[in-house]
Amino acid sequence: MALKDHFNPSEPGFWVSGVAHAAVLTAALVGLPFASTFPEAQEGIPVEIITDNQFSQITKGETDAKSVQPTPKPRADRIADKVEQNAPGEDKTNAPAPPKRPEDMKVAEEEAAAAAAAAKAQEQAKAEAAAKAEAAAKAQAEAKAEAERQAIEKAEAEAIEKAKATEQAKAEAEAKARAEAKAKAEAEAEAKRVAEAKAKAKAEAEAKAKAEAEAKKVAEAKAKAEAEAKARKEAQVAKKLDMGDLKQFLDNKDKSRSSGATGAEVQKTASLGTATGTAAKLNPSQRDALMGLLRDQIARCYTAPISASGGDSTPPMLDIRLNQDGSLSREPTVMRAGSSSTDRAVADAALRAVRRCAPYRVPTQYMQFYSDWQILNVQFDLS
Amino acid sequence: MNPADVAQAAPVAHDLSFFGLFWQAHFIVKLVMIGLLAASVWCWAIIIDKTLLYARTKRAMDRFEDVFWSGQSLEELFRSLQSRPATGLAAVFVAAMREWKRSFEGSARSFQSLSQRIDKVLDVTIQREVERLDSRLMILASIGSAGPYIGLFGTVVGIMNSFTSIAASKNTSLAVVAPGIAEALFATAIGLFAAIPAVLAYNKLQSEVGKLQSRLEGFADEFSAILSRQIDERLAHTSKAA
Repeated sequence: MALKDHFNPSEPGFWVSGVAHAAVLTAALVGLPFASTFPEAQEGIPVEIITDNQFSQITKGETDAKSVQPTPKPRADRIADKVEQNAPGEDKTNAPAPPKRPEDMKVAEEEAAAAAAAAKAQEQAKAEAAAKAEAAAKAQAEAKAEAERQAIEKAEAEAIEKAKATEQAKAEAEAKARAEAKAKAEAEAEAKRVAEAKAKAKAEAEAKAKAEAEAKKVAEAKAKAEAEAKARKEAQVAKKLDMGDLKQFLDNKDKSRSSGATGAEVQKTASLGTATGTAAKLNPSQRDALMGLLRDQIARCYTAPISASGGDSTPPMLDIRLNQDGSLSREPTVMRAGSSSTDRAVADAALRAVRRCAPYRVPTQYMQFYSDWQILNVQFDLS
Repeated sequence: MNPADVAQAAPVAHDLSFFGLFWQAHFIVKLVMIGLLAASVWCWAIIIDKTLLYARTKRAMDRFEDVFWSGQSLEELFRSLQSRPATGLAAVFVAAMREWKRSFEGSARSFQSLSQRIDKVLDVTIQREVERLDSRLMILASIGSAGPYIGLFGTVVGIMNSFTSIAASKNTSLAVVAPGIAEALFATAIGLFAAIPAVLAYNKLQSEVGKLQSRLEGFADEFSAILSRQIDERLAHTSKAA
């Protein structure tokens, strides 16, 4: 064992080693600050990896802007008009309601119409009253005549019965008396009738005069009331200012519009670009739909070269640059085509078709994505 | 020791110095650390002793070879070395000469197997010398191979302990977990601190033992050759005389 209780100069290992370890431990305890706190964590430079496509979609910003704004927004001089989604088949913009005509004009018209109607009604009433009176008179006369006839018949019947009775009771001696009575009765009836006819005519005339007088009075009162109502209504209209009318009136005037950019809110000073903002981008389904539309339009102008009728040609990749109105902003070029002469012919035919069909009809809904479809690198399989 | 108490006490003061790490450690981890530290002291003691021993042995061999090949009489050399305990080449020389002398002391003059006897003696002496040189080197080898494992054991126990503390305190924030793991890893650090020098020194010392051994064997062969020549000469002499 190395453990020796005294120092052996030929084998000093244990003592030397022990002393050295003690020295090292002491040095470590005293000298080394064993746990030093970490320095404050500094974040590394943030690196974001973006694709070529995303890079091309970065909005540039204004180079003469002073600073990058904390919340960058696209420049807008005025607030954009709200777009209303109308049902298909309807006008795109709502036509403003025509302004109301001034109230007094309408009132006057109404009054005139009312007056005319009243006059008409009055006349009608008058005519009706007359007719009624006549009818009443007629009816009365008829009734009277009927009554007379009945009376006569009754009288006759009585006379007959009486005569019968007298005939039965007395002899023909009384025939004379009977004749006399008869004559008397007849004479009386005649006189009565004449008198009655006279009275009747008089009553009729009186009734008529009275009805006429009454009708006239009613018409006068009505006219007076109407005149009063009209005056009152006019006064009311003059007092009231209708704001809806004013708005409608103003709506029909053409507004003075600025030609500046529009946005959701006014932003007069644009930011000096932003690293995160991107232009509007078509989503895959929109892209497919737009490509389909363009393909259809191009296919209409495309005539396949005869050599390509075999159907084994490679569809060419075309570079098409479009303006916002659908016209070509640059001559279309072939980006990639097959190597054979047939492929070249197909590519040329496709180019011709693209040139001939311009301008293209691009639906309005894709207008906001213009930055996405202004450069189209598309493989058109037109065969 | 209640883990909950440990967890409560733990965030109060975390002395992360060597002594603090040692003092806060679990009992078993403490034992492991103390053992490893003792092993480190021991293994450095062996390293220092052996390095000095080999240097001394080498110097002595050089000196002896100088004297041996200086043409000095072997009898004289033997007489000068006989008095004190010899090591290294001197021990080999003394052992062979003693056997030689013994063969001539009696009147028997047993030359017949003298050469074989001398060879045997030389072998035995070399073996003894080599044994003396590489004694305790196995301790270095053991510390070198087992030290990391012992340290790892301490670490595992320490981490187990610190995880029980986490479970008890129901808090997994790094501030709670880190000190326990640090003190556990300290055990492995000490294990490696002991084992790495041990392994390096073992390889170095082993190769030096090999060198010294081959030097001893080379000398023994040469000396044996000289002696067997002498024996043959004497045999021829005696046969001529007879």
